[in-house]
Amino acid sequence: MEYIAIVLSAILVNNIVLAQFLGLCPFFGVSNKISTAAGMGGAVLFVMTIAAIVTYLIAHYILIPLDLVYLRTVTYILVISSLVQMVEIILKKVSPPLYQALGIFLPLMTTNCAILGVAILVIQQDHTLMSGVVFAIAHSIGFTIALVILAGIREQLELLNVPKGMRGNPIILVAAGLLAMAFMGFAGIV
Amino acid sequence: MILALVVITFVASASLGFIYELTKEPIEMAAVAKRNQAIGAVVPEFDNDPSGERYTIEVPDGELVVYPAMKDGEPVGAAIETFTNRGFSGEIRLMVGIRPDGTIHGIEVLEHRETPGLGDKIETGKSDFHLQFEGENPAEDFRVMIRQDGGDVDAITATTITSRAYCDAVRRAWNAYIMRDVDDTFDLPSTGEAIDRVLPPYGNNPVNEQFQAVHEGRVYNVYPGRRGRRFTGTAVESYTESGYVGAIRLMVGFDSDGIITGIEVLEHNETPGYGDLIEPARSDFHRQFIGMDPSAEDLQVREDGGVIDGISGATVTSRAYCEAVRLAYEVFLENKTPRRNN
Amino acid sequence: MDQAKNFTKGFIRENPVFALMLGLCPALGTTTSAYNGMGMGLATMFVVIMSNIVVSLIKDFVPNKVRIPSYIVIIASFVTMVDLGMAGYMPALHEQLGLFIPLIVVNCFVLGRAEAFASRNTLGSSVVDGFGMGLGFTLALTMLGASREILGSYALFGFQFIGQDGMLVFILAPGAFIALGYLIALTNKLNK
Repeated sequence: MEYIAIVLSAILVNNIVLAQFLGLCPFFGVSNKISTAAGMGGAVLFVMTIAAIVTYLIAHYILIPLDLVYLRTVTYILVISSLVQMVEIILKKVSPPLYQALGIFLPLMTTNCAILGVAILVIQQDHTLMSGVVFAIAHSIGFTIALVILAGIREQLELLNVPKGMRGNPIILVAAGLLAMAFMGFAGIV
Repeated sequence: MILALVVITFVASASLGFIYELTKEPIEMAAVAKRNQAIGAVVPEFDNDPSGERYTIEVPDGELVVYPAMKDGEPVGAAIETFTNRGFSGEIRLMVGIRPDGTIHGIEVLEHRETPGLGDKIETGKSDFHLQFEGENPAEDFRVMIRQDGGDVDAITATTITSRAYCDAVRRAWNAYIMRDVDDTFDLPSTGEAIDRVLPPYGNNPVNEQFQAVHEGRVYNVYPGRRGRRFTGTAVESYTESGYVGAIRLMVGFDSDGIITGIEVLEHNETPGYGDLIEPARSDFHRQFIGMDPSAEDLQVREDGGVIDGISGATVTSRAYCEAVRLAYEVFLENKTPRRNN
Repeated sequence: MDQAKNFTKGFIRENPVFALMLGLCPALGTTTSAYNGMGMGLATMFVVIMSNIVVSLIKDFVPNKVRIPSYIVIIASFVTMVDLGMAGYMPALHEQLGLFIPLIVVNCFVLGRAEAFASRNTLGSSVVDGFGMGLGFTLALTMLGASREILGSYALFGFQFIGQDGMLVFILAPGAFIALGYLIALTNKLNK
């Protein structure tokens, strides 16, 4: 039951992009086509889950026992960026097809604040390892859904005659705002 | 290359350690200052040090901190740091000031993550929502619930969930604070007293003849009652861990035919106002069992298909209580013939 | 490079938020009021200036291969300092900005300045660059915060000028996107 609440809240009510404003750079950066959006979503799911597990272990077995919580930001960002490199190398060796699909998105992960944000939230909200993993997976699914929907909207926008001043980023932001408004309709279901 | 990175990391963490030491005190001071300010805002004028005299009260999913306020050695109220997990976006922490007669004196919000512009109107200064509580006494016809739930509080427009959660936190503080006094007035009986109350008349000393019985791998204390050589009944000390908050220990008395003659509660941690109604001094819940034959009647709560009316709002506790009674009966059956310990 | 131009380029032409669409997460997440937006902007400005200084000082000693990790460590350290300092001396603002303070570290715009400017320029112009870009970022966040506060609560920097509730949507998430969309359209117009 608790897990269902986490999942629904993360995907619909507190959507990481549309309600919590995390991961906006890839949200606007790679949402021009549905296929790339889905690829990015897959890469986020992969890295976010691993990052949540690794940072959870570091926090609970190193930082908190040694009273070094103030090194959190430094440690996490280093761990995440080396993790991304490692995933990239391993994926290249072990599963070339997967690397083909996700490869180009991996370097973008380090500066994706959704990854670091979720890693910090897992600790701040006192999750257990298991609920933390569920939390991370649910958030990355929420991220992917928002990204794919926006990509779909943008593919349609290409065909429309947008007023001159609003062409490009402004109209995309307004579309994202309307999307966020739609997601607000889920408020209160958890 | 590695060296450069090591040096940078080392210098960075060393300087962070330094800054951490430097800011440690101000961070703690800021937290203390915020708390003291909240305490000052919610209780009448005092001249003691509420922070220094604080104590905690355990409640079902956490604990409340009570900061007693005194003036000239007389209690003028207490500030209670309370919480709820039912907010729109997670936990809300409040400081609720209660006067000695139970009247709410003031409320401050300590922490919340509610929506700006909507839920954050619970903050003092952003709306008059909190004023509805001030000067009201929940013991005297002020129900700390929003009107939609049958209470006396007007919810903030379009913010039902947050308003409901706020009431939940206030109620939690008030219950815990008021019930804390009530707890002192009803002491739970000692083992000897409990045996005396539950057993049919007896002439021996059941405590001396106590023996231990094993049932389903757990050990129970059994106290046989006799009059002369005639066996009159048995008191079984039974327990379960399935209470709402940990273990419940009961003393259940049976006559020689297995009819329940009395039940006392020896120990429990159930919620004041709800689960603690299993105590014989607080409600008639236990009376439903007296005179019952557990082999003939299904002593479970109605929700589970039995004949017992559970305490409303405390189904888990009621269920655990029934379980302990059933265990006692099973122990009784297996040890019907009285025996001496040695 | 002309220092005056170096300083003012971040205001409109290369404004991190309006022109480059960088650092959007804090730009939308913290701008429920002008004050919060300005606080976030100043915190980021401090990190940009300090990391620009350190990066431009050590640029010759850091091997190329570990360049990025080193910059990240430097930035993360300054972010932690801001985090600790604000927790100690401005607890109320710190609570409001919450998660977005540690997240300055992944603000692409901060790392971008270190990598694209400070690692290639002298100390002096790096400071000017950090100051100008930081100011541009602060300006953007304050403007966004101000427009959302004006429309959403009929107030500016906490002073209410119409005594009633504003158009709530601008305080909420959708309004953040929409307000930024229109501000970017406005900047595009000015740039021409």
